[in-house]
Amino acid sequence: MTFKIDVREDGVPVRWTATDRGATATPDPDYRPAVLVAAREDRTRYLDWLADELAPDPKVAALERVARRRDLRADEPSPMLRVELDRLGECRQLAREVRARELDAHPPGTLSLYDVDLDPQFRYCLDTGADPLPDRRFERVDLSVPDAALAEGDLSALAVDGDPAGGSERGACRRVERVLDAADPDVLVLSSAELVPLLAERGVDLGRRPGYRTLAGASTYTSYGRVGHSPARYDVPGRVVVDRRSSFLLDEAGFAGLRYLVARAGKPLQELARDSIGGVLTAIEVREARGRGVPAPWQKRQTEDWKSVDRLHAADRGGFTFQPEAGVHGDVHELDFASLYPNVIREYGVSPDTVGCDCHDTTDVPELGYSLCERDGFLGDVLGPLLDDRSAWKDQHRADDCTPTERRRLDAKIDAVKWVLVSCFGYQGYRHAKFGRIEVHEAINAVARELMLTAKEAVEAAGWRVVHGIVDSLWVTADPDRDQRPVGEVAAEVTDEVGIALEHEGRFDWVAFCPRKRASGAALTRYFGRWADESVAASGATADDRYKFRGIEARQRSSAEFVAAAQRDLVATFDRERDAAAVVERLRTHLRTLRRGSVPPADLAIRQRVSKRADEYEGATRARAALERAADLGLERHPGQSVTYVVADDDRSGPERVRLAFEVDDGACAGGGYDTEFYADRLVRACESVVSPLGWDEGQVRRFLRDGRDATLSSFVG
Amino acid sequence: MTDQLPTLDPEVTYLDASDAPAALYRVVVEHLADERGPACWVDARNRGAPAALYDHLGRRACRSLAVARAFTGYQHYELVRSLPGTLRATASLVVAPALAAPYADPDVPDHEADAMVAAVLELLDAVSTAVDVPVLVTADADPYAADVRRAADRVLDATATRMGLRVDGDGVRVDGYWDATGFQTTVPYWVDRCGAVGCRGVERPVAPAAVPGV
Repeated sequence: MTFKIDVREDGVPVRWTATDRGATATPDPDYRPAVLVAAREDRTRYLDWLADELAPDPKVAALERVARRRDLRADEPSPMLRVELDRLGECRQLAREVRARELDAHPPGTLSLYDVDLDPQFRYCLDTGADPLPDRRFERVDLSVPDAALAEGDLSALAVDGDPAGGSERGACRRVERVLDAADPDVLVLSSAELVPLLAERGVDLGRRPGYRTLAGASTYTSYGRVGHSPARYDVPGRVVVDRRSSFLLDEAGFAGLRYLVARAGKPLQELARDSIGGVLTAIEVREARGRGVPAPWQKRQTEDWKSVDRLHAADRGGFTFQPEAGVHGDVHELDFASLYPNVIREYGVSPDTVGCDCHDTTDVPELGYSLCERDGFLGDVLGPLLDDRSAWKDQHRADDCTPTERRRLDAKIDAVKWVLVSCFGYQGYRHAKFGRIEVHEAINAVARELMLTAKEAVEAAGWRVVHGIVDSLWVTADPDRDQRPVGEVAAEVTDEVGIALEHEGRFDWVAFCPRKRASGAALTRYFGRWADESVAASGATADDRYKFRGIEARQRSSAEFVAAAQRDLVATFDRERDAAAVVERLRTHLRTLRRGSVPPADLAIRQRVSKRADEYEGATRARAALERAADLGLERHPGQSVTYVVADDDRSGPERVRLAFEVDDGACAGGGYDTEFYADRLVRACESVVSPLGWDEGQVRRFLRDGRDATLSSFVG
Repeated sequence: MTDQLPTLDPEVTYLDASDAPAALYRVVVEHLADERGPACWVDARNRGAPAALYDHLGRRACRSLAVARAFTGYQHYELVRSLPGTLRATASLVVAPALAAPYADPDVPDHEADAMVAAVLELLDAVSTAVDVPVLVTADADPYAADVRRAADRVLDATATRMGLRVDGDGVRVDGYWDATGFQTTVPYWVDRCGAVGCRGVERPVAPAAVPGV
């Protein structure tokens, strides 16, 4: 219903509600946001003191004593001071002031604050129960300008919904105005939010009312040890702005996925679209906790429990791993636990409010001995609907009458939920996760390891040998000295026993595990294999998809397409010949193609995320060269963003070392303007990955190439 | 030979181990070798990672340790605040490595960090007195390192030398160096043991005179 909330200059929220043919605006001047404050050990005299302190503050509209639970484990509510504010958007300011007053008068940590750092629009929906979805579809318009043109502030190349808008700036502006008039969109999907001020400068208002607001300037941040970049954010009246550059979710989950998550989180589209996955999970948790009478803590003060070193050691172990034997294994079945961690959370009730509870003196968690309360856990309730919905969509997807359009929509939603499910486990260990708890992270891992051991023992008892296992997957092959029971039957028995589906993913004709590059044994995550015919048919894949690649160049995002394609071809050669020499012979044909200079430069483009500014790189790296080149061309690239480049001359330093992708698209790099030897080196390394399970290393590949051998027939086939 | 490394008394001892990170574990293991009571390790920056503790302290010393990790300044502050209620009367040691590092993180505003660090230093001093337990702290090269050093009752400086580890400070006489093979003696050590024998002012350590297994 209320799909967009504008906040006026005077702090009054304006709800935009979708109508059949547009949207109407309703100001809500009576709305008052609130922050909650609790005192250490529930000593109410500190709350009385704070109420006296805040009474004269003009920002404060009302002060009220309420009772809320301090955290998910609290059995009883605690007394809290509810500080109601006059304006939406002043909560953080008030919180900082409360903290300053506290430090003047009391020891740090005397007060705990709640419901401080919520997006104003999310807060409004939480407080008022406003539904952030329209009861019709979102009307959308997509506006895009190529990066290079945007860098020059040139809108003549603007495209509307993918179609060029006119060829001149004036024509483009008129076209945008006409489309906005005709379609009256609710949502603007922009290649860059910078289009908002650029169009405004040319007299085009993108909102349903004139004007726009700058919500935040561009900034660089660090999250999970990675540097990220937030472009500037803009807001227009009555319409949702989605900036493609800063929406991981739109990229990964599509619009159908976004819409689903808006419904689950109760957070409006504009704010949700720019969230990280952790942000989405937090929103869903905040909403669930609010329903349980627990407000969202601001600076989380919950600490880890004291542990013996032995327990810490046991708790610190990661997921299950079974060291594979490097080499090629024939006739291998893959078994996977479906959504293992989320299902452990739900089926075993592992949650911040159940692990190590006070009411049970049991040792439910294997290895760690933590108790698990029998009540329904918070985290299971958060993830349950996501798991159920995803499972139902998968069923619909498999149904014969599912149309291609519907399948695409389901895929988007399945992916959206997948990302949230994948991150829910790691997020429990994240230090700022509002409802995270390290013991929950540890317990999930411990239960999951136990389940994997159960599965391993079951398949071994049924005559199978485990050749590799990691986190939630097992690869098994028939033990030659024993009879086997069907692997699907064993998987079904494990499923019944543990309550989480162990799925028979399929059978490989062969799987090759690559050795580690600088140590003995096999790398856990570098392998490739060929699915058997029946598994290819069952998955609905084409014959082209019959290989599975993990961790090798063909799968790496940073690989140039030419190198990835060559490696896929080398794997096909490997499949036919099972002979390292034949694979290296085949490599010669790719090297010849490369050296002829006939590779389209776009196929040589390397995409790389940059973590620093050009002047912060100590060495002369390619990323630095690409950043310098971007700067020379007037293109802004910040830490956290990607650069895509072709290596032109790897012996040089500075901007001449590379060409940016859009330059080569324009043909500036055509005619062999790439560094042949650099890419040849990449090809050799990709080849080494393929032949390494057969015992060859890079040196042998190079010697073979140098010393030569009569080309086998295979290098001319295919 | 254990009397050659500093003995820890019921006070706050600051160990500057920035040049010799292993010194922290060495001093702890020496202390625990003579003590039976439980010890608390308020961890920051992963100094108390199980692998490091097993490696440096050995299984026996680890058995007397309880560890809790702080991942933010707020958590560190709460852990230190919880010490009086956590420590038993028989406690033998409190260790707080990289004491101020979590407060120097950008997620804690400066004025809050200043107040919390000051409060934590007072709290640790009060704990050492009230429970009569040694408190050993280290600090990373963060803005609060000087405050931590200033607030301590005693300061020790650890240096990794060519001869091994050397710890200087109030009440510590440098009689030896610790290295991978054991304790390497200095001239003053042998003079102390055997009396001066008229050798003329040899200043450098006598090497190598390792006493294995010490």
